[in-house]
Amino acid sequence: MASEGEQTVKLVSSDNVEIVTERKVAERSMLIKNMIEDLGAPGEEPIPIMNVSEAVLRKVLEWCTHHKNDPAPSQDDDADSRKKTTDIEDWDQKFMQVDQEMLFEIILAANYMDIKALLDVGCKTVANMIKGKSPEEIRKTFNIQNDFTPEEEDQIRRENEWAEDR
Amino acid sequence: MSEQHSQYTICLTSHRLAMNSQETTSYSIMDMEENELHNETSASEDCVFESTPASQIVRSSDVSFDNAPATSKTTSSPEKLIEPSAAQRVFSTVELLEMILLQLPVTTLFAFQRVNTKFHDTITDSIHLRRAMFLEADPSFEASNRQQINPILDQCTFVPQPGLYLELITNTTIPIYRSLTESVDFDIPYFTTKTGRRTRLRDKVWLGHVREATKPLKLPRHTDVRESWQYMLLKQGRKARTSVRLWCRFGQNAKPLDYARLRFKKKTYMGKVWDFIEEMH
Repeated sequence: MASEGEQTVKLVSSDNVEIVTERKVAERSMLIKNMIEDLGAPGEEPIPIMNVSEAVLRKVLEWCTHHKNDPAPSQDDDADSRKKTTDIEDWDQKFMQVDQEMLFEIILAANYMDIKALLDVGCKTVANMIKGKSPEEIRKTFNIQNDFTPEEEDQIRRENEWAEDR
Repeated sequence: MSEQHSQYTICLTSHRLAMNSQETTSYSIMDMEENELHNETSASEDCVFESTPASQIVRSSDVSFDNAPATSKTTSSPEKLIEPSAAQRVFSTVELLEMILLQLPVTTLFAFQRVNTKFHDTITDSIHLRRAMFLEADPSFEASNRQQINPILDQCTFVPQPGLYLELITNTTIPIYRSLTESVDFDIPYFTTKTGRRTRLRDKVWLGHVREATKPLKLPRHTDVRESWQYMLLKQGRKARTSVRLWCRFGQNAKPLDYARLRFKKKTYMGKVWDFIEEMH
């Protein structure tokens, strides 16, 4: 029997591709960690990762591999999650240099797979991306529809115009 | 000297911002030698300022964008013909949108309310965002005994004319904030501390509290709407008695400097301070 550190697990992506990875790497995901604990016999039964495609899952596992020895995530309160946007470490910054679709796919996967640290890095990356933009630019960049009535928008604009172009 | 010691109180019941009508705020105008302790008893009511943003707009129906499948972790929406992009799914998931927004500067959060109804509602409904935006008191500041001045004070041209400047004081006589957006062309005054010592405040005393305006922001811009900054707290931090002093020359050659003071017992809202400045000048 292999020791826990060398154990492997089989993950199955949403497009039915099997990926074998180290248990320690996969357990950066609380979703997988809990599943392994429930299954009892890791490595034998493949674990389905329903909402994540192969490409995204491989990318997420790349992050997990690099961070496999990080200290376990602390059970921080939501209120403490507001940190400086600049403090993304270099490796993570490079890791996040992907196309826009992939960046947001990683965020969705990190949320689904419950990997708080990765979710945090993803959100910070997006925050840095949108910081200097106007509401119009946000809509355009992400194809978000303006669903206000003209009157509503005008009201909100006038209440908050002081904060625009900052 | 005591001749100049004129001390009077103006009671104002009507405010620009249609406050609670029973509420009375007293503005004490006194000269600089006034003893702080002596006046602790002056009748000043809590300044209650309604903190509901005016932009709580009732919408007739939810828009389809709100129903993007990303919200749920287990279901997908097969009836949707065009799969929304990952970005759209992230931005339509309240928890994810909130996490992203929490990383943004305060002014950006006000500006982004206009992106769409999802942004607007997430920003106005989230207690964490409302605390970050100084719209609600943040208990974590009090718990850790920290204070933070509203960051927009660093950037705003709040005082309408030269020769006026604004100070924010809590408990002690040392101001925790002082506006420097206007050139101060007079000597920094003396005042009496709680221990009775007369102190001359020199610039070095202030420096820890004063930050230069990076990009001056003119407040207000519109007079026909309640602008959202008016609902912001002047500071986050422990509940201390707060007052705002507006220093000014009363008359061309008036000496010494006089100030008008507005006291708060609990929450200090920017709009209230603005009213005060308006009344005074």
